[in-house]
Amino acid sequence: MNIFSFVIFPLLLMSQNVLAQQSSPLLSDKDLPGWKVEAVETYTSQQLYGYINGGAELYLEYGFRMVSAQRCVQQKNEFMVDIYEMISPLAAFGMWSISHRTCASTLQGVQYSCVTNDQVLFARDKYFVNITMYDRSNETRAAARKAAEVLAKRIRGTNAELPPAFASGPLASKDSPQYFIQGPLALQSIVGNWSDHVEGIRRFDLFLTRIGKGNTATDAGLYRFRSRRDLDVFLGNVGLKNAPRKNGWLVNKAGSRAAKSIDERQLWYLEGGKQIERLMQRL
Amino acid sequence: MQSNEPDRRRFLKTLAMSGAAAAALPRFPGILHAANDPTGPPATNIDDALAVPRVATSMPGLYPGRVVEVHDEHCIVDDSPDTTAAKRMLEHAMMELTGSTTLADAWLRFVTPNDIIGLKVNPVAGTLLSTSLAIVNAVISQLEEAGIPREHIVIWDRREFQLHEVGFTSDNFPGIRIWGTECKDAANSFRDANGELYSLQRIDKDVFYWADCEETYDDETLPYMVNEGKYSYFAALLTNELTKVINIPILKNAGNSITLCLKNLAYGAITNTARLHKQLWAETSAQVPCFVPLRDKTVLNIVDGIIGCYNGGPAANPQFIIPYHCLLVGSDPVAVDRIGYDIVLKKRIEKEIQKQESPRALAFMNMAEQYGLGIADPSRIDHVVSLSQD
Repeated sequence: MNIFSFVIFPLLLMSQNVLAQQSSPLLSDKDLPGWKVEAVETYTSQQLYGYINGGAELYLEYGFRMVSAQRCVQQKNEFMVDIYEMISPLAAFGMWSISHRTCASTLQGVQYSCVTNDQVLFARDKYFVNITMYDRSNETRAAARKAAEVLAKRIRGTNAELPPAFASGPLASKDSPQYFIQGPLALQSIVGNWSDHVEGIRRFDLFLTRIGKGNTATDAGLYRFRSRRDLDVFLGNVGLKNAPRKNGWLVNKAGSRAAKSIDERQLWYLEGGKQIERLMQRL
Repeated sequence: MQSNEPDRRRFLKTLAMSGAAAAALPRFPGILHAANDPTGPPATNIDDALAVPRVATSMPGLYPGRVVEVHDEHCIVDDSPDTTAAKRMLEHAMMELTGSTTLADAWLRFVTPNDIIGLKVNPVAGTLLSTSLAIVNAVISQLEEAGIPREHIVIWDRREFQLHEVGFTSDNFPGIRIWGTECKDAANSFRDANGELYSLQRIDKDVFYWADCEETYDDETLPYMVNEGKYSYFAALLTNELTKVINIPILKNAGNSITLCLKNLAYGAITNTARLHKQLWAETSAQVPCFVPLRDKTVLNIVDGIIGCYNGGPAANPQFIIPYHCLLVGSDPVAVDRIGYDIVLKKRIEKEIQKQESPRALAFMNMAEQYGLGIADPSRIDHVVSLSQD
């Protein structure tokens, strides 16, 4: 054994790991035999308007660092891989959560993933990966899925952790979509009418799910505001500030809205459908 | 160095461009004062635009409040808009809108063979959600049938390379000029040998939208914005060359609201828009079309609703892209936007993204109505729905 084995080699390994963690995971031609993976284009937060124009704001709202874009081509078949590096695993989960609706399948071993006829989307660690197919050939579908699997393996780190009520409590359900929303723009994408609820509040976190189906579904959210003032503004906006209390919950006369403060900055909020009473007892 | 206030001498050119005076624009103190309210949005030079007398072609044009919505369930073939169907739908809409007995007459109500006509398309979301080649082909062929020389037609938007990416190329549109404010050379560079942006040669610094907000851009971003500061300059093609504009946006949402006629014109015609997205989205959408080059030259709006989206817009998210199988046509951009908004909202409600409309989503349309650009009140819109015939 010499100094190389004991000192330099481990240091080299460590530095490579650090580099791997710091730079975005990317695809190469070797990952997709028969396909051409074009040179990566990267865009920072300031440059995002140049890449996706008005679509940029949603990413910026969550906290965006950079996107690496790679076009993959095989004759007439083509798909685009956008690897968004967000500021945190939660931000990546948030973008994933609001970017999909119905999924044909998921990626094996990737907790937050969605595969459709046109897209493969997943969130892992601080990365949100969006693969968009430009044709519906079997070759493109297979290659897009393969690209996602390769990238998912290449991304190490921790996934976003949801609050216990959403992860394993009364709001956990494989049949219920779960969202993480971090500002008004994302809110418009999921519960459009709630925009008025947050008027005058610039930033907030919202974990949201929908329990039930159709008109009977209740939207259930955990809000985390930046200040007591924002929480009060919210209660005023939803008409619950002076509402009567019932088992610790503020409930409007129609019984269609209910809120319960957890502390000065956090509250549960329930709206619509037939599940409000049941959820009030369980949260 | 630029001052923080609009240059009045430059503004004289805008005035001069307005041509013969007609009825003065209505004034709406509430909105004008709001711009100067320290607690409201940043001030803009909208007063300058509103002071310019209107002309016969000023928005809302020949048919205020009239919107024709044409449907054809067979307008998509192999997942793509079909040109034959698009022509059929457009013909049907033009005849319905104008009441003309011939298609050529319908088009000649809006344009003449002497006009230089810009087709303002929207390719910003890429191939999945762009103004379709089918509808643009339909417009061009019907303009030609009406006697408009091909060389008088320009397909136009902010970014020339985005136009190319989605198929607006010389190969697909031989003889038609394809033009974007922001452009690159053959070596894929935004800058010439002296390091100057090519785009600077394509803007008209005499005509601008000024707003009291600004943003700085790095070297990579500047080519997409063209300039920093408080001025957004209009495209020189629009101010100096085009005599008419046919606006062809795509039916898509922007959050709770929409990005159709007014937004396509406003954000497509000027530079330095990132600062406006952040602070003045509604104001920009309503105010920029008040400026002479857009207000007096945009004579027709054709919303490509063959394929559109109801969520994820203005970017393209395939999960939310759907066939709407329709076109919306009218001279009144506000009325067309309002009908388009209702269509998108209905889909958002059906998909449980919204339960009802959000009043704030209508803000820019209501603002535009107050500026005299058209009619936003649905009870005053003459909305004609019909099926195009095979």
